[in-house]
Amino acid sequence: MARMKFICDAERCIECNGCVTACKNEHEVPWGVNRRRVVTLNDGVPGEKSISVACMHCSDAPCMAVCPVNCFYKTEEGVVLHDKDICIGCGYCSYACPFGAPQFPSQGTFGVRGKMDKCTFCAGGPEEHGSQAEFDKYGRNRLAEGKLPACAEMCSTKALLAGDGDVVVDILRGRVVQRGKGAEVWGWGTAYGNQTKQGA
Amino acid sequence: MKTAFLICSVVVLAACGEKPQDSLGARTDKPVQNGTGVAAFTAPGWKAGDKDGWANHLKARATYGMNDHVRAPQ
Amino acid sequence: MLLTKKQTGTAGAVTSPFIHSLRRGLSQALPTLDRRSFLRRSGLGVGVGLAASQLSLVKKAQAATGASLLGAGKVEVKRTVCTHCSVGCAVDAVVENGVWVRQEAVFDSPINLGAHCAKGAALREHGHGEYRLRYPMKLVKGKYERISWDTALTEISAKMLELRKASGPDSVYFIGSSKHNNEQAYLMRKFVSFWGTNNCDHQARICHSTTVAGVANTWGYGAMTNSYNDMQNSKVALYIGSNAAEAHPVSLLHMLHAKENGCKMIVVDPRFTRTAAKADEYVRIRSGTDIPFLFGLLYHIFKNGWEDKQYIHDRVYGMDAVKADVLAKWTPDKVEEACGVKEDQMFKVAKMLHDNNPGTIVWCMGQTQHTIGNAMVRASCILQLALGNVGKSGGGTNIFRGHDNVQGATDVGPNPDSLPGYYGLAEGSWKHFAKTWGVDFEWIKKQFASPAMMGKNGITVSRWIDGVLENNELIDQDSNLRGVFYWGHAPNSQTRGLDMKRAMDKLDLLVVVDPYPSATAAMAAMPGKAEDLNPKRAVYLLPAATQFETSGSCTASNRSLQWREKVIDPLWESRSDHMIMHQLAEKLGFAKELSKNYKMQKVKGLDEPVPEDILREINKCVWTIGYTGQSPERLKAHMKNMNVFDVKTLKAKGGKDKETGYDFTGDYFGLPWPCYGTPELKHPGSPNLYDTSKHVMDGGGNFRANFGVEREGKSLLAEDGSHSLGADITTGYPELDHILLKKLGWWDELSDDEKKAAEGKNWKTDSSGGMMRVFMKEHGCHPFGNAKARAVVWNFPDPIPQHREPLYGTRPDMAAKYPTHDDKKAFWRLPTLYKTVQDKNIADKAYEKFPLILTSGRLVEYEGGGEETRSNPWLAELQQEAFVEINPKTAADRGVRNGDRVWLLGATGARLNVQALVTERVDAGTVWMPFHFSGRWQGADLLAHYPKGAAPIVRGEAVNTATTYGYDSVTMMQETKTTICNIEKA
Repeated sequence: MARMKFICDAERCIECNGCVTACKNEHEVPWGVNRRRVVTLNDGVPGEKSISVACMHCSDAPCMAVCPVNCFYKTEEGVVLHDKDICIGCGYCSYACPFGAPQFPSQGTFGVRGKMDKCTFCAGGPEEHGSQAEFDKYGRNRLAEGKLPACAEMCSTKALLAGDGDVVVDILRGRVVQRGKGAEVWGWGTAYGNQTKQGA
Repeated sequence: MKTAFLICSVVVLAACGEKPQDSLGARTDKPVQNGTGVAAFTAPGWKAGDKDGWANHLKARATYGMNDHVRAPQ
Repeated sequence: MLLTKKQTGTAGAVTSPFIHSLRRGLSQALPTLDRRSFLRRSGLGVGVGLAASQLSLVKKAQAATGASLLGAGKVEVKRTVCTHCSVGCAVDAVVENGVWVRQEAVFDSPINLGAHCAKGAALREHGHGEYRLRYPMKLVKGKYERISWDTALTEISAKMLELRKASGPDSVYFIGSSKHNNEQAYLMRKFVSFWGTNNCDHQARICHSTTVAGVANTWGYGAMTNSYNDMQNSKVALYIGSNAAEAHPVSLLHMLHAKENGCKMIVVDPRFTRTAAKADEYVRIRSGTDIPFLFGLLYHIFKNGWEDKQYIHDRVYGMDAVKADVLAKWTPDKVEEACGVKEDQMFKVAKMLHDNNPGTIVWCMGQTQHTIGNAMVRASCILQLALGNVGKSGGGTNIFRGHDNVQGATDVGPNPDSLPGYYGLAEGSWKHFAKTWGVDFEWIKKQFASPAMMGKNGITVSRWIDGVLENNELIDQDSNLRGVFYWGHAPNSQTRGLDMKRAMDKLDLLVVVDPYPSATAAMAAMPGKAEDLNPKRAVYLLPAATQFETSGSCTASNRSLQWREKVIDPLWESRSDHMIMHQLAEKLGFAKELSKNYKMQKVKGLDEPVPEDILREINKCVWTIGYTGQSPERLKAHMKNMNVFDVKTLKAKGGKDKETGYDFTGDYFGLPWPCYGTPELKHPGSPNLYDTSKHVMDGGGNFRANFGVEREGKSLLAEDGSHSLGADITTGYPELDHILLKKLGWWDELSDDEKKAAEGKNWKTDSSGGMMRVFMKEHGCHPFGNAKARAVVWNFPDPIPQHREPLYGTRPDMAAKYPTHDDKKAFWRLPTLYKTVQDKNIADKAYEKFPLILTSGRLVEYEGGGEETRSNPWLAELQQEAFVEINPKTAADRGVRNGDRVWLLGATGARLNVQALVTERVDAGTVWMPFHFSGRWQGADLLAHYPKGAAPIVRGEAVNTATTYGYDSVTMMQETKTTICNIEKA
């Protein structure tokens, strides 16, 4: 079974923000909500590296674990989605998420926190696939259209990869072998070392 | 009178009692491979409802679109 | 309702070791001080003026028809090309009921494989166009008021004719555009010619004009020799003065792919750029010292005998003289003194170039924007010639052009010194075009002030302000400039902003034709010096449509042409540029002549010349650079079948177009020029120039015979045995004309019709293309001859490139050793100063008041002058403040902290209020600003001076408000990359 994953190859990421605007474009994400961002380490000095970050659609999602109203669910492909009709905007998922994926559009003087918004792996939400309601609340549902997330499809250097975990990992593994380095990246063994079983 | 009071209090108190744990929460989605039904926006090469076909189509799309070493072999 | 308790099924999530270890890992990540995190971001766009209503959870796309945009209506997919940089990324625009609703990646494109940078991924916003100029406007009492198209065109043309009567056609200046498609750019040159002036130009002047002049004078054509794709075949790539990661992001796809296959990447830049972050070797040089660096490399190459002697013998003229010069002048100590690079690093880089083969060189504005830009680019060419890298796959000089169609506009558009195709301004050229245009040569001649003016290079866009401000006796034309068209060009990308404001105020007529009001509108409306303001000045804004609202071809940097399909109808009241040209020509009385050869099509009820017909006209006359083979049919077939083209070679492996049956076999994608001969000849285009390993009918070639046959007893033609594959002439030969063809005995291979057309002509003026057909197809020879490249360009100010210090510099000691040129009295119609300015700066000790080098460059989120991209909320959100990069030491010396507001003090007295970004990207003697900002002027926000509702979301100080005088000694390129300034805390 296709278990969807993102990988951003930091050797290729040039911080062009193509992934960021592709997401804005595809889902009409408003100003102030950043489903995807590029983070740069060691900016301006040798050793500078960038990586594109959005929701990692964790296997064991902390956001889902802590949500007091249980508005999260996980699809069969491993995509973590949530129901904005149930979300109460408490922000707890934002505390829990190590990647800062949950976004809250704020309005007004007191920064009233609206419903949580986050990367959906371009898989929409609990509304009917491709419906107006789904587009209004969550954006487009590219997976149901037989496409992959817009951010990865448009990445300028093919640094950001998204899709079936096996394919994505194969691509990266191929590059690592070409380069002759990269497997020493921290966490590699944990995240990508073993082939996931079909249906896992 | 007393019965009425008892009945009322039961009804009222019942409303204050703990509801059973609701483990459902969010609605869940229909399977993604059902598609959107909108042909104009759907990528060709797979049929709605065909889970394996959809998965294979996406694998091919990822390889074609993201693996430049396959597009431009050494 | 009570809070529901979480499911017991997911118990243990908080205590999962997985999450704990992730959290621990990330908290140990180094704190970042990246460009974005220090700037104000997200939350309500404070000071941005966005309505709160736009912060609905997910904004609904506006539908013109009110219907939902979910694919239920009429859906079409239009293939187009991004309109930002010259990589030429293809885009599939999905349109429903005439509204642009989706944007999809074109994986099939061999050029970008679906990839985009931030700008390309945000293109669909052009279909929203919230901050576009919506209708024609006129400046009335300091505010822009709406007027009708008819009023606008009537008044503008009347004013133009009035100026023409009083001061001649040369009193009006047309700043054209590198963002016009080929058809519009070509039409603009024609338009300007029929108006009767050569006073036209476009962005190439301030971008790669020095490249074109320097490179063309070295070996024939002044364009990128190979391609972005071909860099995948390189084993070493030297980037000098190019920040490709931000200026040409998708080119890095090819480069990083090459790196993974073992290519070494060397980046040379005064600044540690994002491109440098990907380099195997980074070299920091002092801004403006490219020649010491390049010749310092050559020193080691010559010293160690690493030059390709056979190649030089066969194909290069004058390398001996260069070698002597280099070995004498650029010893390691002198190199270190000039550019700051130590001998061991110089040697290391030279060795990398020697050990890895083939190697390519990439340069952009870092090399071109100097008073000696023409010499710098030639030094790069000489380096590659010495290494034998030109004319090879994986080698070449890969010059990355800027805007999406600057290559096309340079090739066929509004240049002050040439007609389309680099035909000069001599009578023969004019007659050639008069014939194609179907107009009487004498009629065109009469449009000009005099035959002399018809043959004289016009003023350049970099100096139009002096055309207004300079003393009339010193200008080489009758009158000063009195009217200016800013037609698809920004003002804040040219230097000397303070002087520009004065010039704008003095004009009688200023017309902006642009999809956005552009900074010109605000600069014109803002108050300046009272004594400068011309009370009779009339300022008009005409809304132009973008390239998504019309169709046409554009030429990417690798010389491939791509055809754009029209995505949507022009928004609001905007009109396509060629429609505006035609309508203005109607008012001016030469529309019939202008559009003689074109059918008209109706767009929103009005006549517009059909772009395909304009391209067909180009195909009929631009022989010189081979724009004759790229017919609309061939280009469209290519666009529909991109998947048949190989990514590394751009060659079609086979395939036929389903609709037309066109066979792609052998074609190179986009038929990169030169695509010689008629479309029927089916030349496949030339992916890598000067490549002798291929037959001329397979895109092969050799260096051009353009400079004579012999000089000082040495032959300028190629040596025996050096020729393109399969050529019947196996030695050097001059360019093709009827005499040569007859001498060779091949004249009779022409048909009778071809003979009639070719008699007395050369390959550039033979309208049948017959001579070319015989020469190339039958005999495998190159129409422009087979010669040596020139390492010594005797017609240039410095035949062998010499280092000279910039006019505004911080090293008077170096200026004494390497002084600038002498002043020029009349150069592109204007007196141009060099020595006077440099000497005065030193005498005034300007380097003490302004001890920092000010240089500028690009950001990935914005393009050019920036008004278009800063009006796109998706892009604008990412860069909300104009800033200046300052080294920590420089900042500490001035008490400046990261994020502080500072005043950047220019040598002209300009003061810019910007945010300080303290970073080690720049060294202690240099500061850097992005040049994309405008809309703020010396501390003041210009919002009030834009038309209401049509100002960019993000406004900031334009670095060019504070830049200074200084122009290239051959092309009048502006010296933007090195000037001086100081910083003080605000």
